[in-house]
Amino acid sequence: MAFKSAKLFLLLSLFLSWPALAYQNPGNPSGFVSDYAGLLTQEQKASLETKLSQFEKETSNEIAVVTIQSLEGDTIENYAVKLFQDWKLGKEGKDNGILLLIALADRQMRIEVGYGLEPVLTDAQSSLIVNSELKPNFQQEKYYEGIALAVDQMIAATKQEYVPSGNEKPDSSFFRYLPAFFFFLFFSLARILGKSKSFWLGGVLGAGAGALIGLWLSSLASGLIFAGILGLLGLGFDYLVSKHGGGKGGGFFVGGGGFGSRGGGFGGGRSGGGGFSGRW
Amino acid sequence: MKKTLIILFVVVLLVGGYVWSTYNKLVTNSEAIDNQWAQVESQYQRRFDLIPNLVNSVKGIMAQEQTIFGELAQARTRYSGAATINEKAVAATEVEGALGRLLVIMENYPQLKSAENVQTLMVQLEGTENRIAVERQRYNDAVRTFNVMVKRIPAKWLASQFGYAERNYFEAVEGSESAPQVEF
Repeated sequence: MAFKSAKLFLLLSLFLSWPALAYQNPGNPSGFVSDYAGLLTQEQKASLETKLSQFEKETSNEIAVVTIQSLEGDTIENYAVKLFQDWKLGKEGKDNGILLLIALADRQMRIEVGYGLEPVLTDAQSSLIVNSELKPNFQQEKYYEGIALAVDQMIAATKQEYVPSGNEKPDSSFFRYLPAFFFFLFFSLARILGKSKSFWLGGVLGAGAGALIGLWLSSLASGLIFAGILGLLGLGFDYLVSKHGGGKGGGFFVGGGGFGSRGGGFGGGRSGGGGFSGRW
Repeated sequence: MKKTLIILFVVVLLVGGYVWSTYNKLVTNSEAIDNQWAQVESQYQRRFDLIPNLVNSVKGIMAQEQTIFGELAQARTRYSGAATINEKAVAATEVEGALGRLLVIMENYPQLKSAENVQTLMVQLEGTENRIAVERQRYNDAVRTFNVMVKRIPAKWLASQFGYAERNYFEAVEGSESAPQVEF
């Protein structure tokens, strides 16, 4: 093994001058194991999935195994950190996620460790896992065996670090009720606007709302556009409602249609480039 | 008359609100850059702390390579003496260069490859270099968000009023695209 660091320095400078890195989000995660390269059978995937989700329940650590066909010219370090960022492995605040990324065509793998687990799964330990569990098995195309051993090691190393606090994901209920809230607002507004015969109030409110949106996006152009559109819509709406004398529609609740949680269910954690890469 | 007053009031409210939100966004983005710089610096520090261990492990075997050890020590001293962000960035690049040269020289000593403590240190150094790369990239992202905001109209005029100017990116240093050549 030649001293890779010299090469890494080279890569460092290249990181900064490449205009468009080749990472593309491979999709939404399908659980803890996402096997885009087709290396595992259904049973193997299921067994890993059970192990990892059990581990997540016990410790709140989120270990994900991802296999991809090819890095598409990107480096595995960059791909791993970008994937970690997109999927947000680990719980928010604890950053206790680990990504095991395997790129089949490039014959490279990487263990990317979240900020929170860096003290217990050090780079040196990751290098041991890569060199003694993954590399020899992958060289014999025993992908499942290698992955399973590596997962066991990662579990053993990080078992003690966190206990789940029982109040994960407090904000999902807020988003769940948001659509119901808007429906309620809509109908109450209809009642109020319908009371008066004139319809300029709807226009003013619409324009005001549009301008606020423009404020929030801090863009004058979109503010003007939104103000115009919503103003016209408001005018029209009020006109219609005033004609029919309001009073209809009352305030009935529409059952909140559950909002899906972001990113397929990982907790919002971050990583900073810790871990180890290897080739086989 | 009342209608014009209402409209005027709304306009003042909107403009005021816009100034308010733009200023706050400038503050947020500027702070994000400083915060991210702190991350970069902490990774520089991590590398800085690893270097003496590496030097001690290889000094025995590489006894005659005193020049590179001297250069490395000098670069480290300059880094710890650097005060401003710019000075620190320049000094860090010098440390990087010296470290790179040491690594290239190390390739000539195959017996180092089997030394376990050296292997562990190399793993740690690689990890640190990767972390530095990631934090620098995030720093550039933060600078980009800020610069885009400061350069757009009409935020541009507000920004200069409040004293916010464009910030510098981390650039690849000249000549770092080619690996350092070692002459014997």
